[in-house]
Amino acid sequence: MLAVIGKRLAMAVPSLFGVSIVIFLLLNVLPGDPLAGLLAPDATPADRAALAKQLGLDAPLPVQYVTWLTKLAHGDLGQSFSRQRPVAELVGTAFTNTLVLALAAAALGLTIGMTMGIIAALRTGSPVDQLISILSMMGLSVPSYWLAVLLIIIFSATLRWLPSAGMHGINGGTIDFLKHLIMPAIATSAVTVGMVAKTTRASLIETFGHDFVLTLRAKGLSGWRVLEHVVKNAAPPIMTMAGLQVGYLLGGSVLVETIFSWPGLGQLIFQSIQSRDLRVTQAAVLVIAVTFVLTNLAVDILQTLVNPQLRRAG
Amino acid sequence: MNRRTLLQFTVQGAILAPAASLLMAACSSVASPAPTAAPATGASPAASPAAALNGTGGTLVIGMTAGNIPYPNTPPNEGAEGSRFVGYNIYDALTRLNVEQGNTTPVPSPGLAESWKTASDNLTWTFQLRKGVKFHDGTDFNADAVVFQLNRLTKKDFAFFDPLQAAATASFTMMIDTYQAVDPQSIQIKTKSPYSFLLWDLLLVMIPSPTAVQKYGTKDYVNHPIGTGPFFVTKYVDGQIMELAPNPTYWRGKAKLDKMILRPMPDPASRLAALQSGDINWAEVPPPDSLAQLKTQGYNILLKTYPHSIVLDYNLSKPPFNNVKARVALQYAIDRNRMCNDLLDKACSPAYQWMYTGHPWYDPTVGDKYQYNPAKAKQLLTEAGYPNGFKINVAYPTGGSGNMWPGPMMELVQSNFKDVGVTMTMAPLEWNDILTIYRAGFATPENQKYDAMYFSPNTSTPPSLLGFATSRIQPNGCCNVTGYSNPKVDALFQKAESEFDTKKQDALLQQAMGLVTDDSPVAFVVHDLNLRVLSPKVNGFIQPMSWYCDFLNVWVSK
Repeated sequence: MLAVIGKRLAMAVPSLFGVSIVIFLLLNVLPGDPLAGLLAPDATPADRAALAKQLGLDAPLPVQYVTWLTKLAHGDLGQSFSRQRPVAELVGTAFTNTLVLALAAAALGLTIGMTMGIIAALRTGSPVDQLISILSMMGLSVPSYWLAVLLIIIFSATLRWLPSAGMHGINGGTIDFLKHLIMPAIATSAVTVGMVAKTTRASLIETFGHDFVLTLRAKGLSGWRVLEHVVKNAAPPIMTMAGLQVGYLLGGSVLVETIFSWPGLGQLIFQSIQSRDLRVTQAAVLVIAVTFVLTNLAVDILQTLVNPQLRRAG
Repeated sequence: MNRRTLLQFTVQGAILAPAASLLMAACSSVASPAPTAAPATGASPAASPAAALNGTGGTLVIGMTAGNIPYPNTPPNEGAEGSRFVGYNIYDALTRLNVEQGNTTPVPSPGLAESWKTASDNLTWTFQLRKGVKFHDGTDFNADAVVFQLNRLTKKDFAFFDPLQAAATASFTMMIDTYQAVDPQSIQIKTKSPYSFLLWDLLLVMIPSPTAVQKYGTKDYVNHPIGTGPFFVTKYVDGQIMELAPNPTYWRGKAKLDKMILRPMPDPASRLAALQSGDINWAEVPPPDSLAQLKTQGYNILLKTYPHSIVLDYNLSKPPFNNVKARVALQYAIDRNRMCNDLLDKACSPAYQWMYTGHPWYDPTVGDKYQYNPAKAKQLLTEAGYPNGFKINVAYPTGGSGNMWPGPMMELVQSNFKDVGVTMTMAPLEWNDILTIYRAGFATPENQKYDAMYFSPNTSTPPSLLGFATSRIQPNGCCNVTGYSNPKVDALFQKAESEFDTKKQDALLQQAMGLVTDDSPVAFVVHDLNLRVLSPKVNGFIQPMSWYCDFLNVWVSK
């Protein structure tokens, strides 16, 4: 098992290397200037050149990239010019905030999605199944930013139950924090609910059609016991989907985070690209890539534990 | 600054309205637009109720348009919004704008310097510093602190030289030749040439505590900002929140508030919702179509004329805009009244010159001659040699604080131009890209693809007018983006720079701006009216004729 994990992690290194080169090149070929927002309104081209030299931004691109990579190898992500803070601190804080939102959204999305999928599969063709299908389609197709604005209109602006933005109110505290978390979590989880519900339903219906289910029923097992077996057999595609969704949630949502002023990775990357802050963008995207790789690895390991066939194959 | 947001109009227009109309019938009190209702207000004096002047305390929570909390350095980032809410609350400069009143356009007034005089050479200024002023860390403000900060911004070999702060203030220190402390209470500054605009430049040279800068070093200083200003920082979490408490020993008196909270909210629909839900009690620039409704809900809608415009900078280096008649023709093609009255619900006033009517640099002899007149525009286009119009490519920002609502405003201009035979393609760019064009100028090869650019110039200071000076054409100077050059205008600017009598100086600048109006290197679109909305619980604020604000007398009732 450890060898498998080691192999998988080693395989991820070239991907991460590739990601970092692509981001580096993309941000450098984009129009715009990382110094544009740092200079005084009427600073001269000479002022700009002086600053570029002082910050090491006048060096050729390959040199800049190698310098960055060398520092990264020593655990130094550098300093953000546009925020005057260490990149590690910025990305660390943003990742923590996104993690909180992602875990809340994943918990909501997976619980609701799986419950809806199971109910739909057990009541195939009934009005309940149809309603769940409609709701899953809505979850998949309604844009998260639209849902976010809708939630704000209802629960903040009209009913005044929940705060509309930020992470903390004036007084802070756990309850206050949870209140701030509810709406972003719902808006972020809509797609997950839809995806997981549809996958769960399809996988369960397919598994119910297998011969072993007939055998189990013939042996006189109760409905719940049969369901237990079916769920176990139907789990792999659901887990893969859930893993992908968690990975996607951990990447942060630019739109939801911007609307709710949630200071997570999505918002950080969005703002860093806008200010052409290469160091922050690089680091944040790498964190997302690493997270995605690790989440998928975790799902694969879980699959192996759940499914004996995979264990033997491994 | 964050003068930028992905969602400004997407959310507020394209999404909010259908969302509301389709699914929110029950909540129509919030979502339904009220286009026919009486407009919020014009350019009326917009103070909070006078009856509420007597009171104190409370927490003011401001929803800024910035995408992040401006870092509290000298100056802060996030554009001028950083100086408005963070800079001038924490720091003072030698001069300060008298923004505590709302009747006149603020001018440099005594700040940390209580008086000044110039020597007969018109180069040497002696500033008498205010006595007894202390930094928030208890150390004394004196001439050494001013010298320390000027060293930090201009002396590359100084131990605490900060290249980022130096770059951010380069245009405000560039005319300073030498400086020295005469005694603990006075400082002498010598300029490179007779330069009467120095007092304006010094507004942006905020003075931090030398002790704090030395103690925490250049990199960590932003986490421990110390100034002499009306407030000091009690909490600062990047990306989330800044909390400020009143400085009990502030030299202009202690602020009335118990606490001020700043929150970054780049999306206008979010700021509106936060205001309506009570999360914030001060919202910068909510969506303009919410104004009528906010007014009926009892909010105070503040609008006031101030020096800040929206223009289209023309590329004068190639046809069609190297032809003055073509430029003037399009001045007559823009229906500014429709833009302000119908599109923006009176959140702007029509611009016929660089400055608004009544400003000392507005030229009354030229007046508001560019009234909407499509027939005249067509006639001038024919005279210019373009009887069938022409095609232009215009860059505009997708968002950004202080940029108003570029997308919808540009669409109206596009349709106005179409009416006179000019086909305009719109190139949406991020604010950073627009700034990059602005710094490089149109004449550079990569910017030649643009014929014009939407821009929101700060027009409040004499140096801000110098964007029309030949000496500022890139790469020799910055930032005459259009490449406009008129020797008469240059001569007037030079005279104004060395004229120390304010009235005479104003007259010279007025004359220069009159010539600029005639030459039309830019299309004047509208003057911004500094829209902000306050909860009825916020008292004592006077909306100044300035981008900046004074919070000393503001308090929030329970």
